[in-house]
Amino acid sequence: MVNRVESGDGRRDDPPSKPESLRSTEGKSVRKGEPWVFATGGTLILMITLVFGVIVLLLLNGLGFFWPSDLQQVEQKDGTISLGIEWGEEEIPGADGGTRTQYRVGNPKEFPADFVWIDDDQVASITRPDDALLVETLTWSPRIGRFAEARRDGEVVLRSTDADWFDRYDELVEEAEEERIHGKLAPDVDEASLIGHYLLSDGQEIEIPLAAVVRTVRPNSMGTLAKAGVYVSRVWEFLAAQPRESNTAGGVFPAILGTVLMVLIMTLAVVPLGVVGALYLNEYAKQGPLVRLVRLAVSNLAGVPSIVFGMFGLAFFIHIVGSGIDSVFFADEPGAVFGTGGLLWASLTLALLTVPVVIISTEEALRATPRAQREGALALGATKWQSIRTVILPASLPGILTGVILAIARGAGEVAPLMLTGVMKLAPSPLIDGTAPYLHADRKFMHLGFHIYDLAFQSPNIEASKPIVYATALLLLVLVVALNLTAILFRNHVRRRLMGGVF
Amino acid sequence: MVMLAEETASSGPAPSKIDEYFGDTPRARKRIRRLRILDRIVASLITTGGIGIILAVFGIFFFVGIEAVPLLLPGDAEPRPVAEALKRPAGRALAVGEDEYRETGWVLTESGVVRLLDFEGGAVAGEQALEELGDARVLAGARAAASDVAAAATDDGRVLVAGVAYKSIFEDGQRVRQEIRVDWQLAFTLREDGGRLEHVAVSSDGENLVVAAAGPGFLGVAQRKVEGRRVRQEEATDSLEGATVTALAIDELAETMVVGLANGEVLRYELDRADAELVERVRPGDVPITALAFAFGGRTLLVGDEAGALSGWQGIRSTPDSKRTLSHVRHFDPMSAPVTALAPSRRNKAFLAVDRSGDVRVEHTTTERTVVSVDTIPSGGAATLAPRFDGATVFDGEGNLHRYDVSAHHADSSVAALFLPMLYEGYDQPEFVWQTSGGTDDNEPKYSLVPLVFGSLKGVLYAMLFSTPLAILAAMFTSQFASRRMRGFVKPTIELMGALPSVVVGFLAGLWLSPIIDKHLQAFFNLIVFLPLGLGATVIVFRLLSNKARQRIALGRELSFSLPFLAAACLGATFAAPSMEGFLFDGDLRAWLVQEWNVAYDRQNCFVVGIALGLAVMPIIFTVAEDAMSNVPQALRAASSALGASRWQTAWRLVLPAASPGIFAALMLGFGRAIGETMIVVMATGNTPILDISPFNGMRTISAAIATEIPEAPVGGTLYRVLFLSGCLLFAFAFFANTAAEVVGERLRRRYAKW
Repeated sequence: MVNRVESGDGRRDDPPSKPESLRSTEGKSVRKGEPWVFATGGTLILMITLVFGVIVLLLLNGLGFFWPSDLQQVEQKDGTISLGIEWGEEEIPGADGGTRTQYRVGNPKEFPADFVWIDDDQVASITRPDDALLVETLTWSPRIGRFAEARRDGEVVLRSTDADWFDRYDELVEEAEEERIHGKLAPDVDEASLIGHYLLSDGQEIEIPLAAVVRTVRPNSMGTLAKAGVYVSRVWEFLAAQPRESNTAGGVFPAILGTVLMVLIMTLAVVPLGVVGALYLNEYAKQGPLVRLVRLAVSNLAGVPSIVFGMFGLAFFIHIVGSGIDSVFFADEPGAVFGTGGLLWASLTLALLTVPVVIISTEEALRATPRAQREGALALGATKWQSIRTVILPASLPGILTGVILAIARGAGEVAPLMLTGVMKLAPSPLIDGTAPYLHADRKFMHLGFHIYDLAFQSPNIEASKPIVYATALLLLVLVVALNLTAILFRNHVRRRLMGGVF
Repeated sequence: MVMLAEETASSGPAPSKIDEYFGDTPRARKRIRRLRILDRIVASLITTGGIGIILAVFGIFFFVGIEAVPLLLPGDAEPRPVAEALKRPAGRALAVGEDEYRETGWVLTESGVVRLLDFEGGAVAGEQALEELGDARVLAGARAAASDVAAAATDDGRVLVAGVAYKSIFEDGQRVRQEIRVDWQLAFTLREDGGRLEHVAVSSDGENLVVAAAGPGFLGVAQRKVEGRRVRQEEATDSLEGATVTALAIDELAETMVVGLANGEVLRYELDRADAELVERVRPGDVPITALAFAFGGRTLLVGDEAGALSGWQGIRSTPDSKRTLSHVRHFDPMSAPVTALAPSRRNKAFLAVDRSGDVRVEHTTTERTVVSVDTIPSGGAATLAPRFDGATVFDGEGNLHRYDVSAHHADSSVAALFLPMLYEGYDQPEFVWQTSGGTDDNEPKYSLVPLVFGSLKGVLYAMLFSTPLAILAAMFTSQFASRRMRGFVKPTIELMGALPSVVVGFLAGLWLSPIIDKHLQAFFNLIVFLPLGLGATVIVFRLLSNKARQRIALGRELSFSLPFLAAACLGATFAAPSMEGFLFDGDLRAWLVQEWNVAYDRQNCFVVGIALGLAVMPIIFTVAEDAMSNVPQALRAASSALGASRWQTAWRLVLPAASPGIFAALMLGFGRAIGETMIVVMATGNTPILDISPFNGMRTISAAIATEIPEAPVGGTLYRVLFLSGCLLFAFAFFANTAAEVVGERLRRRYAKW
């Protein structure tokens, strides 16, 4: 024991529980309270379970969604046939015993509900017909049924009885898509030349212009490899395409772009603000009670609710600065240009929100610069600015960067202030386009976080939008966690380097 | 240096590179001067920049606060100049009105003329005599509350009605001026005997019309209803048992008529087609009633009497099942002379009151405060509030015109309305209510911040209840008992937890957790019992083990040892749930809760919020508390061990008290984070502004109200400013918590600095 105290150099990292302490006092006193140690350990387990529970939950739900599930044909005892994807099951509410299963039967245009519940004791048979198709379309997606025939200008060009019809069907869809891309054809049944005819589970025949078909999947007759192909293509669509079906299908590309641009502009603003602020506080200001007070206030500011920053953005940036700009430069524009929420104001608001993080970590880094290096620089006759520029700043650069990354991570995950400063569920015009000034920072934008909120709670078809919400949440989580991990690794790396770097 | 310079100068050859930098050559001097200047420039730049940034940062509170300030400023009234031509008195004014732009107006005078006034042009735009007046004299006049309809009572038992119409003239899509004319006229013979009618009231929605008039020993009502193309007209009369009527009013929906009597009584009639039925009588005082009116919406009766007393009356139920009866619920500052005119606003619950001595005031029904004391004129006559509640037009007793610009944008709110219980229309007792929008225009906005503050604190309470024990005990384990490797894993994991975007947590809480808790409520409660049982089992099994095995486990393998027990506890809780629910709560916990405890169960309740919000604050509490406990000097712990304390005794009796200021700081930081958290509460609380501490229902927090209501609030409006005020409150809460944490943490650092 005595020995340990004398040699105990690491205060924090040395665990107090050592084998000898246990052995030395064999008897009651060691065991005293041991149950409590287990209790505290239990709470830690619970906390770690919560963290990984959230992550696993998102991974399962977010990644599973893209996998093409089998289409099940359910025949009920009364003869009703439904074709759909198994979605969930539950006990029949209000009844004693018995379960029911939810199927997504799709075809929201033809069927009253996108989803149906079928009592399990009503089921006569469940089959997985090879020819069942899931057709993802631009509107009224998804269609679930069977292929009947395809017509070009009324002429039948392909029948489901033809050999290798699926390959030729794919070619036709590609051909139709080509037309769509070239803007020749609006995907409307009346105007399109290539029309697909499909049979639904209840015998109805529907027509879909092939140009409106995004993807056709035959999950029941696909191997794992083919399914993996669909999986990849769906993930790619999710990342790179525009949303469709009022955001419940398609991709989240505009939201990704909005998030990234917002974070970029925020970073451009927050880095000089934070660094200059910290340089002033640490290098130039006369250290005294006032500076201590300011420091206290800055760290206090880091704890101010983000929504308050949103209100500031609304009151100051939008209604004072923005309206001011409008009345001077855009007096003849009919609507508000800068006097309404937009990318720029949201980014600046978040920059203010995150500036304390940068100031605090920059100051920490500045303080950590070895005194010897500073004095060395001054002794060599460098002016204050020279020593800052050539010695202090380079030495504290990694610390500053850590702060910036933490600020970015905080900014990327923040949603509440954006709701007051210009985020939208569906931005009317793109942030980047071909007209000057190319990047339109005055426009409203989409954001991954707001996308989650909007889809989960404002969507007309919440059940259908659930998978895409999970996928979006996973994407945001990956983004934020990756940024944080970078910061953590960076910090550890810097610590190690600084420890080794002092003479 | 000097020597060196001399040497180089004397030796002749070109100065070396080093001399160029450090020598005393003209170039070097120049260079040093440049460097000094640069240094000074940068210094001043950074200083100004730094001070600027710090000021800007403090500007945040300033700008949020300044948006709320107008809420607390009193209203203001300025006289508006009146053109000479309009100043000419035209006899006593009986009723007055103006358009929403305040450019034209009309006045019904004693001589039976509707005079049209062009305020913008500064001239009388025309005069229209009441067509069927004949030789009769006009004794009284009134206007409808909701429309520009004037009624005049004559001395031969008739009521003459005129409707005024405004028209906006547009040029190039821009409104350039207003036009005014008398659109239609009607006459009702109320009193067949041709007796005098001394008081009149009218209500009209533009199509249907109800007039009432009273004279000595007579009260008559005429209703004119347009039903398709047919016009139906019905009349009813009453003798009032000889009482003398001194005031009359009909509400804007023409459902209620009130009659004020000379003995101080007010009679309430319900109007239904042809019939007027007396339903109740109340007695505000003993002096004659001189003015009656309904506040906007028709649900509050305003009464002014001979003594100058002003009061507001509402239908109140004494028990939930009884009928509503008029009760004196609004008390206004009394006026100094008999009240001559009460003119309700058509925008809010404010009204203009004028007394005979010429005192003109704007009062507000809900807040009971004098919004603005407009002016004192020689004597009081007819008056109206501008349709947009931005002005007043008043005639004095001689018929002189006085006009005012009134700016009272936030008449609906007052400090009392924000923080004290208020009796709102349709309620039976004073309550704290947050209800900022309603189905109709005449809805009374209710801006009580109390439910929001309560909701915020309620959310924090449950979040802290959930997270505090977990985070602090886990921090204790990590700092006191865990192995180094374990800490290396735990700390980044918890930091990761702090990085979870709150929108993701909120979405999982609202969409995933709340249905699960809803479905497995019993299992959820079981967990609270089963988890400690599982821990107990862990300890018992641990004790049964041999000493050797115990030592192996106690060396940082506690976690893996107790894991299976906890998992078993979770499974047990889930599987035991249905039978327990059947046994203890008759098979339905929720029904049982309602029956036995009378608590309603909401799907979005405090358990969900507590867990979700707890998840957000746990990392902060954990990290700060862990730091505080790790920083307790090793020497103290060593001393404790040396005295024979077990590791738990050391942790509990020594480390915990020693680190308590740091733990307090951790809790404060957690509080500050929880109270401002927005997305989680928006998505998981259900957002109902209720005052109920029960964990089985939700709440609406300040931050959620701000996030969801500001985007729809008109900029500069009362709601907008009230929300900014609530933002200041939020800021104050967080500021208080953070400062407390900072100060205490600082003290702790200094205390252990000497170790």
